[in-house]
Amino acid sequence: MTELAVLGRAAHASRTAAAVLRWAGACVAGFAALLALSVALAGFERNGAVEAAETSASAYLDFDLAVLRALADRSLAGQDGLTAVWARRPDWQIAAKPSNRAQLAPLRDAWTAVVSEKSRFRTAARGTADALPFLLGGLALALLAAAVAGAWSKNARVALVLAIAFAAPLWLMLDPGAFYDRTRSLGTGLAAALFVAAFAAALPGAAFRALFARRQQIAPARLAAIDAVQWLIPAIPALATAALFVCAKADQDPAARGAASGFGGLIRAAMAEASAGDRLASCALLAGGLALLSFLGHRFVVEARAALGAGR
Amino acid sequence: MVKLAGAVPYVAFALVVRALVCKPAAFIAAGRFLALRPDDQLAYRSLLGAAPGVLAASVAIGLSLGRGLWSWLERVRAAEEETESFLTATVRGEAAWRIVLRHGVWLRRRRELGALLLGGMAAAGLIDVLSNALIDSFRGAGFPPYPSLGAALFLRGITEGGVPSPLPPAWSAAHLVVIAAALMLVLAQTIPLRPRRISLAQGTLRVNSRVLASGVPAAHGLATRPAVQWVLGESGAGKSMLLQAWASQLRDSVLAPQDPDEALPGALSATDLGEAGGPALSDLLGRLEDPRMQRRLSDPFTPVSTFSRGERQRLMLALALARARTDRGCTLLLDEPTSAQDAKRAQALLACVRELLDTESDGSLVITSHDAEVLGDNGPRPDDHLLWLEAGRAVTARSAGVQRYFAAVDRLLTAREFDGAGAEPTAGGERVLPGTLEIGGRRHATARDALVRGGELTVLSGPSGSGKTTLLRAICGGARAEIGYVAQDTARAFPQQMPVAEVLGPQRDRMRHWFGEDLSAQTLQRSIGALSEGERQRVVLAAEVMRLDRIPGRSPLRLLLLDEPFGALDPPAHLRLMDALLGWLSGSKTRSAVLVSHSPVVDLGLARASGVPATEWIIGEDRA
Repeated sequence: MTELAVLGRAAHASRTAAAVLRWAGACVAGFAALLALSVALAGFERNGAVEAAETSASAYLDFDLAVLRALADRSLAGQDGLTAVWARRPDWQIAAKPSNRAQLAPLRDAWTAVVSEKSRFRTAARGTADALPFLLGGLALALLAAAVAGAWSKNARVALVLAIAFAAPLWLMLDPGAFYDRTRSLGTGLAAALFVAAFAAALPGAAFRALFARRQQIAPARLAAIDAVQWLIPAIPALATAALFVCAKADQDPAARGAASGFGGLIRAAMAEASAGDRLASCALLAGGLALLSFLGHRFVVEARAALGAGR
Repeated sequence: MVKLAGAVPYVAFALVVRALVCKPAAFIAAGRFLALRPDDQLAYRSLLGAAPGVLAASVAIGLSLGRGLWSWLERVRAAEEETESFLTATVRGEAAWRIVLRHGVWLRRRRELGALLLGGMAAAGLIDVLSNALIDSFRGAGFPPYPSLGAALFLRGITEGGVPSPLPPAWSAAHLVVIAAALMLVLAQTIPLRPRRISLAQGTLRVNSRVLASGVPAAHGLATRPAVQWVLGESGAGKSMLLQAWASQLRDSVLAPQDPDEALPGALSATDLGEAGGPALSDLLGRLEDPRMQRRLSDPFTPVSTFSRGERQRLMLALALARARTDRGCTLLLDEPTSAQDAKRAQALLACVRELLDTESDGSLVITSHDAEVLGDNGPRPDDHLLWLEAGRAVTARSAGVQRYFAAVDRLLTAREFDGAGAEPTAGGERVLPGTLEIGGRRHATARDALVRGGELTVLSGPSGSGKTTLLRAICGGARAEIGYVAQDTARAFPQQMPVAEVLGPQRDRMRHWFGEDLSAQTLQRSIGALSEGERQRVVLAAEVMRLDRIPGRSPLRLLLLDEPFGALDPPAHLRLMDALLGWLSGSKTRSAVLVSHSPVVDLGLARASGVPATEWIIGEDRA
């Protein structure tokens, strides 16, 4: 191996290591931001108003029945005690609602609530960690598809076969049952990863761009992968949503059911909790988890470009 | 994030529909269900608490698609500011924001803008369908879905037993139509905007359906080394297209295009390219007198895109020559190999190329060039083959066009030998250079006696990458004179789609002087990119000169800056434009010009021979 080749490989390894370190730093920063959001939400929600139970109408029906019975007995017994009975009638009125004014909880209490075993933060973090492999896997598959397409674009027949092969995962999006059948999911395996990769045409689009581009004489696969980053960056929020979808939807599938996913738990909380403040907090953490996924996906493709190319 | 802008109307529409239509429809749909299952009222009310979160997430996702409209405009601004058209327009007095919007967005990228808007709306639609299907799946069994713009198509009824009805086939078809349409809109962005197909069949050279030349030989009939195959013709005749067509016909060929960016991937480093070039690459770079590029072979962290144009061209040519050295049977096609090189490096390059002719080979050496010094000293020899492209035909005999062409070459070379003193310069002069100039991160001093004078031509020369363009830009920024600027590459001086009328400006009273006749309305409406290189040069130069002459008032100096305007011109066009420039300067006390040239001796000789005073500025290592 020539000196330049050795130098090139060493530089490539150092760029890759630097990219991995930067991405790990982004992960730490992202989850710290999610934690800060949870603490802020916990500070508001602890003093949220609790809905008061409304007075049951049964008590008044019971009194009315008792008055009617007393009238009946009196008419039968001939005694005059009706006024005294009426004076003891319960005074029905609508109970005054307690004050709904929110107050800030002490930071220590909010922190304790956030780091507790079944806190919303842990649920959101678990959901993000569950969905992250699907998102990164989808992006990696798209980059790999672009590299393969770039390497083989010169041969027309191979290019046609590759175009068909890379468009095939779009079939998953054309299946209405995968979207609307509540008893089905894409599972947590290859089908789910392909669904994420193909969503918003990320994988096929990256491959088609490489097939249509002018063929490079030097390092065509590497250059095609670098070029694919421009295509993938706008699609990252869409792919993050798809990753959330496959994780949460797996909750609905009896065949794939294990532990409930974090995002599924947050969605159920957003729909079932009694307090409006709690429901909004769950929604906000769901959105925060989605934003964190998008951020980490964006950093992944940017660092991939930095590792593959000569400069950032 | 143009996709942000594309998502906004869709999301806004979805919100309006949700607010006005979906709530009543949901109640109507849910009413029958609630009559059966009244205990779920609390769960249904909870949806109204969850819906704002879902809507907010949809809006946020839709608005964050892509890079944001603002950041897209910021990228457009950064890209425009690096173009020569931005400098040209700034010199003309246009505001920066106007240049970005008119040139960068409307003229150059409006199709990209439209495609991104459509793609963004399609992606936002897909996300909406996905998010609402997800929320729907978490509701209680048998609960009707909350209608959204995407899921509204799939309102399902429930059977008597409270079990959801199966999805009707018509609505499955609707899902297919919506998703397929969205995917096609997104995938349409992968199709190249302006695909160009070059073909050479049965002697006819075509670009798409347009015929460029007929009577063209196929690549397999080219003369083999040691003979050289020359391809000559005036600007716009199709020489570059022909070389590309031949390269595609030959399995074993190396094409060095005129624009080095077409062959050198900007994202790679010189080290990466050096691996492909092998040991011969460093040796060749040394022969081309480029020690800086030799050192850069050991720098794996600097991308090629940061090199100057001349450096990229030398690297590309060295790679091509290294390949030809190791593979004796390959055909080497060189398109204007010296266009961005100074005279010294051009000679060194040609010496390396000539070495390939020392031995016979099955491969060919094809060269196109307008450089008079290449065509003169190292030009066609008796054993070489010449193909001349003219008026849509390819001829091998010495036609009148060939004779006219070489007569112009001879005149340029004769000017090089002119040893007259020329006209005396006028007294005085204006200092237009700053005291110091930053080039390549270092400050350089400028000569105190570097003045420009009325009626005089100043020729600026120096090695490639020495800062000649930087110096011209410094003059644009600070000189106390009315400035006109002709860019190095007139194809990039204005957006390709700009009409000729807009380039020339509103007052065209001197058009007859520059073009010999008034331009027709049809010509004025043509886009500047549709003109040939020579036509474009004439239009751009005439536009700047007419604009300078129109400036009212008694301006002290009207200074025209020309950044290597003759680099890509054929010799007759070089002479025509030089004659026009010298005619504009001759006898004037208020007009002056600074001309960047890679052949300063030739241009100085032409000026002095025509009686126009001329002086030379040289950019050295530490002083300009």
